[in-house]
Amino acid sequence: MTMTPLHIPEHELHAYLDQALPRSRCVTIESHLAACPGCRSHRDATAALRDRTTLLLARLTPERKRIPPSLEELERRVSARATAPRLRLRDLAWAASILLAVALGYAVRPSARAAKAADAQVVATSTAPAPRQPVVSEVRTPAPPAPSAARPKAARASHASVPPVRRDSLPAQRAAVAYGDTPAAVGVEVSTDSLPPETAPSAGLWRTVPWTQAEEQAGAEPPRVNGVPVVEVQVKRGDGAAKPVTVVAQQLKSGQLITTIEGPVDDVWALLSRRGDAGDTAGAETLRQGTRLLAVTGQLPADSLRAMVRRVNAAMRVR
Amino acid sequence: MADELEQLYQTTYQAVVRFLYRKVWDADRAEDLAQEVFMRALSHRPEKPRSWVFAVAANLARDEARAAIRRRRHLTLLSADPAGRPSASPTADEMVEDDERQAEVRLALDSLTARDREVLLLWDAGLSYPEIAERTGLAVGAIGTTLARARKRLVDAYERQHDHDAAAHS
Repeated sequence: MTMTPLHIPEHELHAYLDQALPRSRCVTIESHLAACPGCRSHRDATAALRDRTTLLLARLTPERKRIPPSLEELERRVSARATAPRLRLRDLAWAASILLAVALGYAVRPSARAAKAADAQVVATSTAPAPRQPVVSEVRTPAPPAPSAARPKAARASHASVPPVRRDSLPAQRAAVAYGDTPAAVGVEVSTDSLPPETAPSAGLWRTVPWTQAEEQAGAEPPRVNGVPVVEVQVKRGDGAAKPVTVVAQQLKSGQLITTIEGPVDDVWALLSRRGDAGDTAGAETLRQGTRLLAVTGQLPADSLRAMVRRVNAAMRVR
Repeated sequence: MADELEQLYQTTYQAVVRFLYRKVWDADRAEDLAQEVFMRALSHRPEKPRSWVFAVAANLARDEARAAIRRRRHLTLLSADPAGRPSASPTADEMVEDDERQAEVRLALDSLTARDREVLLLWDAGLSYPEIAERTGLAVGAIGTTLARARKRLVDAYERQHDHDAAAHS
């Protein structure tokens, strides 16, 4: 019994399986298939080919790295972009505030001890998520996107707004800035006072520490890209035996900042996604080691960042 | 309108990332570009957002290919800096790090003609025949033919590649 003498051409079998044909055409094809073993086996082969293609292409799926921002967040970025020129003015104002802070630093130096005592109290009571708005801000006028007193303006713009550390512009606070190999690389006056002992770290609090104290605070030398001057180290101690999260900002010769983050997977992800929500477009490359995640972020091409992640990882393994 | 875009974002974002990844071969860039695509969609409010989104994604990926040349130059500069010297050329590293199975499919995909590849990727990204036709300028009736050819060539090229690799390893 032959219902449809014409066999089904291959492209139509594809279209049929892709459900791209009108229903009326499908009925004709299905009637033919029911009666024609040749076309049936052809259909099966086509379906297998189709599945195979889908399976092969599925391998070309990127590893999911970041939590996608919400559409509202993207909308915010769109409007932020529209007002970009104003941002630049704000940067200038902020740079001016640093100069003012540095100048004041010299004037206020004798009373720095007292200021530090006050600081200690604020540090002890502020808990982690207190981003952006400085708790104490006698000196700074506008709140910069990623406040850090001793960060040069040019580099600041590209820096990831990582952990919410409370900082202010008093000179004593600038003791929190540490340098690795070449202190002269960053052209901002830096006080060499160390942090007062009463601000000893407690679990869950972000601390900005000098590089010389970083190892002691973190329990081990925080992972970083060797040979690049360290601008800032931030450490969050875990509860009890939990290992800390460390954030090391470093400055390349080009002036660009890179940030190395290491810690438990969830903590590092949280930092990275908060960074994204803050509109920071810097790239990030990550590498997972068991329950720990290593990330390097910065306004650099992904392959450069990836190379850095590998270097940091290799150095960690040697240790 | 906003709801439509919101829904599109929810359902299509990962497909756009995948579509871009298969063109720029960098997961991070693919995500950056996908976000850029939707940011543009938010300001343009296109009438047919679905095919519009993939049109913009394809354009960005093309621009990205040009930018990649510039970035490679930048990387050379960076590696000249003793502080930031990567251990080896990133492309070589990339290939080693890449899942070998992925590399084989990637080579197979690269062996297709640009048009066959585009149609196959758009199909795999979830576009319908009419949408693919609109994007590529092909007739709707030609999409089945193109897909039939593209699928066969992809699988053939992959199998040749795979057999070749297997022979080389043994």
